[in-house]
Amino acid sequence: MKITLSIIITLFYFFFAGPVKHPWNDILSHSTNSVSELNQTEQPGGNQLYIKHCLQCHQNDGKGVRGMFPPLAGNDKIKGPATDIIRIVLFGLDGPLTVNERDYNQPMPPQAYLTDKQIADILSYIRSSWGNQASKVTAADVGNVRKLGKPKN
Amino acid sequence: MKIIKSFSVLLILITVVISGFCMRSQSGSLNIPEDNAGLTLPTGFSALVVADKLGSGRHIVVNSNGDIYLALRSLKNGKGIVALRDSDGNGRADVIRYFGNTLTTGIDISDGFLYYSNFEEVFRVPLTPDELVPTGQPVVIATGFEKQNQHQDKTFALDGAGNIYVNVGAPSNACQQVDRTPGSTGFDPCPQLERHAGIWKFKDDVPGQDQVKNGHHYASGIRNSIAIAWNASNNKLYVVQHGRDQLFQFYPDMYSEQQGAELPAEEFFMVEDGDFFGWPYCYYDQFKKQKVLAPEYGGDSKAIGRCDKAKGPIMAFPGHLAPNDLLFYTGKMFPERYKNGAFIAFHGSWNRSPLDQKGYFVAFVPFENGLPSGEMEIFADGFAGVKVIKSPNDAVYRPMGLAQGPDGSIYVSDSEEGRIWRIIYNAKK
Repeated sequence: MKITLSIIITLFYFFFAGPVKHPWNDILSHSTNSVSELNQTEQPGGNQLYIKHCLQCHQNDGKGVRGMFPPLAGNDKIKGPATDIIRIVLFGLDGPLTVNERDYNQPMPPQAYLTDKQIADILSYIRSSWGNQASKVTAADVGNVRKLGKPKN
Repeated sequence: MKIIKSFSVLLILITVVISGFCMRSQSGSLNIPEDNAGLTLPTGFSALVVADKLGSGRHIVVNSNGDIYLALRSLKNGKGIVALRDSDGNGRADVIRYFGNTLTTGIDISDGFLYYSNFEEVFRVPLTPDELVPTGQPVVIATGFEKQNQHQDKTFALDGAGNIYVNVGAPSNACQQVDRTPGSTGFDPCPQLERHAGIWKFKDDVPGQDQVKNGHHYASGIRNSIAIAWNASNNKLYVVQHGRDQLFQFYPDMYSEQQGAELPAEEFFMVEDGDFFGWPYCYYDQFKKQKVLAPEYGGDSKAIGRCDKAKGPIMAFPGHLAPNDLLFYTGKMFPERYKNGAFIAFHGSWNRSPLDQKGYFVAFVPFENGLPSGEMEIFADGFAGVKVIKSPNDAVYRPMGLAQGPDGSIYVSDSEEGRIWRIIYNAKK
């Protein structure tokens, strides 16, 4: 009798309240996010390349992570001369920096393994996203900076 | 008439006496908001905000008189520590003073001294009874650490027996020849293990101790353990490690995006003299329940190789949740099951994308005889203020540091807005 009753109660919960879940299960269980929607990589454009190579640190909203990775959205450096940010992508960046009165301190590894075209597409995407409005960057721009090599200082 | 008058006097007297008693019972006079300041807590617990907008809060400590000291990882008006006092006992700090000339990350109190650290040194300064802000000269206790540009927090634990254990994080993700670069293999052996990625032990009262000359290399192979605490119930050191990043980004042939988001585990270690925990050669796979060889060292997501020799965790948490503080509860306020158990502040992930970010809560792990005696449970949640976190920027607050007050309350600091919560048991009748 008791068992029957508990089965009925359990079934009731499953139907009306959903399975009783430990909050920890949510963390271990698969997220509702679709991974596949980010996997359409035929002819990846700036957006796709950003997702693959930049998003982890600088985030989907381009706002970075406080204390670690500076924002690309609303950052004057991003909207400034293309040469400066091409250098950062090609040769990396190290040491503390301040953007919009907030401090950041995590190294940016060089991304020189990306092609000139890929870097140009990524930077053009960044310069025209999240409210940024700056000119496109071309593969030739990137090629020129690459040829000059890493600045001494 | 006379009778009525003396009756009123008596009534007033009784009221004064009763309210006097109420004032004295500390939690009776605490001003606790109905919504527990936005936090979700187990039944019987409640929370209030001690202070707000203090700066970029890091670790936190509460003195035996109830004074609070919060480390600030970025200077605020040139100061790196904020001291707070609740002089009227309503729970809200009403005296707030900034001091200290260096940005601060680790902070603790032992034997009348305030210990604090920045990225390169550990200091201590005597606390004067009844003085909120220390007036003495700070003395460097541990120094000589190499400058590093990631995992630089020199957090520490004091054992109360004259020793201090300092976390020196790895200056890289996985000791690659070129850090965080696809295809770059790991240095083998990893030279970073000589001065980093481990715990160094020093005397807690000897000035100017150098890492190499005076420090004892207590444990190794720990990538970064911002969360570090001494467990007084069994006199052992415990840390929670920040596991490595970017398995999928750099090795998409071996790991799916899902696996990259969930692996490796954040590992909870019991640390003893001479232990080696495996970084950078190994990481812990919480699904396989074993240490596996890192891809930078020939691993293929399955091979174990040399990792059978690395000491394992006492508990494994999902990847990238960023355990930033650890506290063993010794107070008398909380129910018995919390005694000697571990509270862990998970600052929350930034690199689980494209999946949602996770963490952003304070967890509890019950302990018996120095080991977890049950599953971990979420103790305090709701810091982020939103249900779904796509990017850390979505979180309004992020739990960072933990401290226990003299009455057994738990204090939680926030890194984003500089808020401090106080969590109390059985305050609402």
